[in-house]
Amino acid sequence: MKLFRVFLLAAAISVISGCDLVDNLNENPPHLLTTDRLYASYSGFEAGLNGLYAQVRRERERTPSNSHAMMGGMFMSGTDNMTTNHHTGGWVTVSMYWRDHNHPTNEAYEEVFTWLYGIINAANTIIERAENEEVDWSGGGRSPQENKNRIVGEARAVRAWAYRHLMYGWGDVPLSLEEARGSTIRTDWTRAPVEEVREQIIADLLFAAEHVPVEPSLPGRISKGAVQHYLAEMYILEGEYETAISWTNEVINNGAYRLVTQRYGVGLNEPGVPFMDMFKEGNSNREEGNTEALWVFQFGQNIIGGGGSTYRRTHLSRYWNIRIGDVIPLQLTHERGGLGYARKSATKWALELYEPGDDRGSEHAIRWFFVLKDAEQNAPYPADNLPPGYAYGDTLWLDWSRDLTQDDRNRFDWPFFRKAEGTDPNNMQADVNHNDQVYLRLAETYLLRAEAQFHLGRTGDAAQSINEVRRRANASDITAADVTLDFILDERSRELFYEEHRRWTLLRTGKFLERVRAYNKNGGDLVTERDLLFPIPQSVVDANLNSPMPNNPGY
Amino acid sequence: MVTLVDQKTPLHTSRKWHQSVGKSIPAIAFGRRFAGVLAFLLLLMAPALAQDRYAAEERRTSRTSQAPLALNSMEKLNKLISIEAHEEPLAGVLGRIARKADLRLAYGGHTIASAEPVTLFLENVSVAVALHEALRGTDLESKISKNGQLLVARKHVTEATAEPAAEVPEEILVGTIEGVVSDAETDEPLIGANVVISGTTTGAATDENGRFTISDVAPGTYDLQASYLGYRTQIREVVVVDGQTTTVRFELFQEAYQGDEIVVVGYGAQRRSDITGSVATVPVERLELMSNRSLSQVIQGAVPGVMVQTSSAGTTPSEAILIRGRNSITASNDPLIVLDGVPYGGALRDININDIASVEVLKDASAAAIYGARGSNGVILVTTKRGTDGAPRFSYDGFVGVQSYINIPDMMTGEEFFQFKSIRYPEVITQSERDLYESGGWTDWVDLGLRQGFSHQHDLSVSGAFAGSQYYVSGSVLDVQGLTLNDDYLRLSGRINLDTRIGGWLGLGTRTQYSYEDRSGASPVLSGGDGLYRMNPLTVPYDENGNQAIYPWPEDGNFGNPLEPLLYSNQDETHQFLTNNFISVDVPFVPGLSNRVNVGLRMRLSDYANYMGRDTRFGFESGGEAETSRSRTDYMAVENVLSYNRDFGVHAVFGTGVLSFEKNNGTTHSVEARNFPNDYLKWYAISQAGFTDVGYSYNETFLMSQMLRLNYGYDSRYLITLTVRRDGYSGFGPNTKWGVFPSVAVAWNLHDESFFPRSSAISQLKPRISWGLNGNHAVSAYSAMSRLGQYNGLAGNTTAPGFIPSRLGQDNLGWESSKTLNLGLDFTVLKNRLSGEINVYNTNTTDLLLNRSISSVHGITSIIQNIGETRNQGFDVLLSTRNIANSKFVWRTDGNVAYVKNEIVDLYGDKRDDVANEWFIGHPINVNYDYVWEGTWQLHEAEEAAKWDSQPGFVKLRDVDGDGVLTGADRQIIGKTDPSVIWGLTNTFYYKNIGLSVFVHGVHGVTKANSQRDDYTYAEVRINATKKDWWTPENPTNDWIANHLYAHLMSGVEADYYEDASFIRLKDVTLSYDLPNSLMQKLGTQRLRLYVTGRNLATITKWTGLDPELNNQFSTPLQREIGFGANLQF
Repeated sequence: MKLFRVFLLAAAISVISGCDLVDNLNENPPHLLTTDRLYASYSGFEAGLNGLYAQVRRERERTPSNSHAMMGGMFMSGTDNMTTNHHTGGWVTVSMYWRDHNHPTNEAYEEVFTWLYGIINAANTIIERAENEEVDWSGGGRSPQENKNRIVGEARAVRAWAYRHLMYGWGDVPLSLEEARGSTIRTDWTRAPVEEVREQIIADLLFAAEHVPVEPSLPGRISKGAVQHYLAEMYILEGEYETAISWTNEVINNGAYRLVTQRYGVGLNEPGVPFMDMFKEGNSNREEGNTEALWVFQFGQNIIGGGGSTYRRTHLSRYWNIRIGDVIPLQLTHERGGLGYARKSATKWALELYEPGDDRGSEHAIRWFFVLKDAEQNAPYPADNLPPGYAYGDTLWLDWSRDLTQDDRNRFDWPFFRKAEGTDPNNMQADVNHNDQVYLRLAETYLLRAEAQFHLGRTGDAAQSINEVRRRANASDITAADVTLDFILDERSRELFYEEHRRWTLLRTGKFLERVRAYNKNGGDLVTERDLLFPIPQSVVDANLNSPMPNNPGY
Repeated sequence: MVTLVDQKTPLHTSRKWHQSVGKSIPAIAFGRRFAGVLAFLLLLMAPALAQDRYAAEERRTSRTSQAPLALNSMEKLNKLISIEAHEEPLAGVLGRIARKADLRLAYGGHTIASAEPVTLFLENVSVAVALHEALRGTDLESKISKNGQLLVARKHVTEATAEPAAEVPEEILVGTIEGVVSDAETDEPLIGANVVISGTTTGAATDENGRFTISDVAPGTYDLQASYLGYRTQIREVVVVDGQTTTVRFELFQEAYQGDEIVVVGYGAQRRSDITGSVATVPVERLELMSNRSLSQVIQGAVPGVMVQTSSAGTTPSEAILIRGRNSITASNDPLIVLDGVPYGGALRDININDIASVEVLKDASAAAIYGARGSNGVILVTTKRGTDGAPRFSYDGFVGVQSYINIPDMMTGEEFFQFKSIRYPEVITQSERDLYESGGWTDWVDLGLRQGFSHQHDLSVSGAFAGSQYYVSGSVLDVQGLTLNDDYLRLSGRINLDTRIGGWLGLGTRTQYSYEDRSGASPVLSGGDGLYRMNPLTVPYDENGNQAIYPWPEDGNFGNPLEPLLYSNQDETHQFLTNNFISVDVPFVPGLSNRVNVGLRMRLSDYANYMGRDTRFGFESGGEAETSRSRTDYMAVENVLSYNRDFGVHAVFGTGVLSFEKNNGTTHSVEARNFPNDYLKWYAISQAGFTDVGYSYNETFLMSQMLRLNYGYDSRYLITLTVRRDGYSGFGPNTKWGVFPSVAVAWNLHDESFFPRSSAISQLKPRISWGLNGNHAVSAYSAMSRLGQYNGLAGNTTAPGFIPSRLGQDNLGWESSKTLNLGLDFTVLKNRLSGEINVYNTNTTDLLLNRSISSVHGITSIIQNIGETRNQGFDVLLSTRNIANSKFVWRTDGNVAYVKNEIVDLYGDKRDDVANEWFIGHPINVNYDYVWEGTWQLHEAEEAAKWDSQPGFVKLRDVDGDGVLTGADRQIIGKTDPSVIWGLTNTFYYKNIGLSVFVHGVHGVTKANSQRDDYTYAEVRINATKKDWWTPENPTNDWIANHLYAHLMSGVEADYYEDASFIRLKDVTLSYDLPNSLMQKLGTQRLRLYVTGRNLATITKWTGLDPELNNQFSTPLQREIGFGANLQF
């Protein structure tokens, strides 16, 4: 019976401890952050902002479905100055064929929608949670109120940035301004009129303009100048050109932001032009001497959070496939910018926009030719292979005599803009690049001011604004008589190729159809009225079970 | 004189649950009071015990004899036994003592016949004491003879002998047993039946008249067993008296009659005739006759309504088990596996099949309701082998097999690819491709990566008993070399099962297993753009030095070498330790009450490391790349099971109460590193890597349950089971953690009614009905919580650690529950030639745990919610027939078929479809929803095609709504991906010692997209595709489109190509040969079976891809295996 007593005791203990076990059903994960837990203090909100900016940076990272595509590619390509030099799936196919290929089921649209609304939701969460009175805002050597305002300001600026893309791309879009919660899943979204979306953008930007600092709170974040720049752009859309000008002046006259007019930084001792210095690794950031930068995306190699951009891969030509006879002469080298796949190249028109002497059309800015190099010159990379009859030192000119067309694309020897160069010196096959990238800069603000001035008929002022930018590149001055909307758009292409959201620019100025048809021989002729707006993704239409969501006309 | 005790009789007449177990314990017949206790104890040890004892007897039938005595006879006198007798003849009592002591008894019949009847009650006394007590008051005494016999003789006889026990006393002679073995139904004699004395090798086979004679048997009481292939073994007690011939008549029943089979039902065992729910038993042949590598292979096609989906092949295939179709849309549909009474969450392949004694599948709600929360997808109860009584018995199972692939994708050769590309996009043909085409030096990548597979498996086990404890110990080695290079798999496993009893009321036992898996070695990837199948054939694998080319295609650095994994250093090992232990106590003073505590512990440790050096593309580009991870899973289950099992006259009551607690905890520690200074030390130099990213993951869930079950039987005719279970799961919302799941089931043994015509035409008829609610909690931990995901950015050169909302919480996330109504009928008819089971059921599942796609406007595109209702209606039928059964030839057919219709009843309470999730009211959960492929635009349709921006040769998709444009509204439901009908058919033939088993398996009503029907070759035609009959003006086929970059698009829309994925497969064929007894006796073995087996021998299907069962049509092909095996027992 002794054993039995032992057993009874054990049974009693297990029953008693069993009662305690019920507590285990309440989850308390040590490794997960809940929204409630993170957004309780200043440092938590900072972490929320970090996540937000890391998402914004994806504009220049690859898409989930296509390793060659850049998330923001559709904001720039299929325009007058950019087309594909390739065949590929994904959205690039749309810009080659438009009509039947521009379809709500194209997964690129859903990817961009999901990405942008994901950012909006993250921003909404920050903005909403910041109003919680329990939050401990102290820290960072500033007052709690300052901290809160800046955090909310940056979150609202980013939200405005996301709605800007949606508004240009899709027109009327659902306006989500609250944190998504499991208890409030909606199946009846409605598309807010584009004017309403723009009002929200302006409201967010106005708040941000007040609280976002001139110098970004951390490298990679938005500056007051960038916020003001976007405000100006929105007021142009509103037709309030004076207001737009005054916002551009806020940026231009700030003093902290100045055009780069002198050579500086990395590569100072090598041949070059001031215009190109800010695109070199080590020169892009304001801290590194780039006084012109309003917003710089941060990338890094072999570092947590470093990301990876497809900026280079998307644009650079496949010079490494150029063949002369049986010989592939050119090696991939760091000096040549690395590995390109040419999914998006300049149109012939965009390459030929430059007057002689314009730094922006020089060999420092555009790769017009390659020089065959021996092992020493190419070191540490191998020597170029010499085709019969060639010697080291010979120049291989690229060929832009024929435009990229439906029947003549996929050209290995097509010139490219060297802004996009940049690669890991240790790996010439690297598929992504990790150099920091200027995302928004003061030159565009000048051109925006010129646009507003032009609309007010102040062509003289506009010429002056434009000349500020041209002078830095050693281009000749223009006069008031030269200023037309087309000239401004030409100038923007010269200055901002592969930087500005060209499609948005053309839509804003109402020039999209006209100019794409005129200058893009590779699909431009197929663009129709319908293509002025992208289709709402089919999945978004499908998920709106309780209220039909009309697509844009023609889809 | 002759005494015969028919052991079957009490079972059939008294019809009590506990006595089903008593069958194997002869003592039960003698002491009513204590027999109940004893039987009950044994019942508590279920699931293992009851079935095992039964199975052990089954095995004995074909394995004839036991090994020589292990303990010497003197030691046996010290063995502790318990015995009780009430006014019983001395011969019988002595016989029982002798059997318990494992001693051969010899005595003079006439000396004992005159003795008074004996009344005894002894507990835990030595054999010597027991003998002394039994012989008290007689003039007899016991001795051990030189040859180890227990002699009982008159005292004066031994006194007169100079050397006590030196000789067999003169009057002790030998007796003879003779008799007949016949078919109980037909009375036909059974020729070649095996009759042996249990526990010995003494025996004989029947002659052409069914007669047998065993002579020279020492007097005593023996268990005599008769066995015959295809018949149930019968055991009879015989008393052999010196100089006399004892006659025994065996009337064997054919095996198809399952009336008194003991079935594990969860938290206990029941006789099949007493079961109210739907419980299917996997035929023992599936465990013993085939060389299966995993439990899922054992189950496949063997049990009606249970489907095994082999979604990927290779040495460690993925095999999902689906019982009665898909209930849940997104929550897991995996059934609950209960191993030796404790839920098992480990890998099925870690369980050695040779250790398994039985597999039971609980299908209906009532049977599964005892596992309430976990039961909605069905429950599979696996019981491992238990030690056998008696001397140690060794068993060896060996298998050697070779595998070859059945089918591989028909990819274009280099030449064909060049021509394909020349038509499709000639401008992008690179010089190296052209050179290889011209030189003919292209590569057959698949050929370089596949090989013939080889596998061998060896199992050795020993089981027996000592000092009242039974043991089963086994060890196993499985070594497989798969079809893909480096796809190697090694498993070592060992098991110790022990059962012991202390003091008659306390039982202890363990089921402990350790397994080790080694999957080291990286294999070339088959699928994907630089996988073996689709890699551009106009490339070269090796450079001029014979080393692997890092970039086989000089013009395209995007493609590495498909063979490069062969150069990786790769280590992938797993250890799993599993121990399920129990302690059970009979509560004194309350007959029938007992308590059992189960404690199950499982720990799984995985160790993974991989290094890609600079001789591979990834390593070359990243400067050496390593990935290591170590994960640990801990599982603990504690259960307290209180049972009350008692008969009151015709009332049989069996109550069970369960309290259980389960905890699952997992952590993984991983490191990813790049940029190593050199390749020498691989991952061991991880501290020198230029970049490391360390991860630590964590997961923990708790489940608490309470269960009450009441079984009541009136006269074994009317049976009812009531169950209620309450479960709490940590992963649900704060207020919705608990669920309650009741069930009720009744059954009627109609054939036992007095009014039922007693005829051999219908020997069993048992209608059943059950209703119950089951739950499903198969969502991962923390599913109810709003969560943030890490998303890091950068500021300068500093990480900017960040978070973004990644998951929407749902405070009221709770149980998904299924209501099932099941009507069943068990029957045995036509003189036992046909037996079977029919179940018809309706399952309504509500509050489904759905991973629902939501509008991306939320910023998050899915959420887990309790939504909607689905219905599964179906039936399953199990039939066993004995087509031919004569003395030489047996042909048996076992077939099962299941039909299930699955449909969504409602989603959001408004009977509306959810197009975004492709869920449609009235349709199955998993459907194909797409544009409809109608054919190819032909030349004469050029004008019409142009309206769609299309042209002849391009795909013609159907404008379903006829509005002239292809929009979302033109998508249609194109079949479903889960089958409606699955069946399995096993034909077994026995001719003398030769057996042949043929298993055919069929799956019908499946439609899937065939990814091989696709010309997608990346931009610039950079990857290979399967050969097709392309459309050309000269070949205006409607079956395929033209070889053109955009021929698959119409108005920018593309559609998958769907095919019927139904199939009928000749799954297993086994030919076996059992060595005859005479030969085995010479070899000193009990059983030697040799067999050859073939798996996946033939498939009939309309599917044109790799295999209709596999998910990825560009993956490891299904393998055909031919093997040779041996089972040896000694």
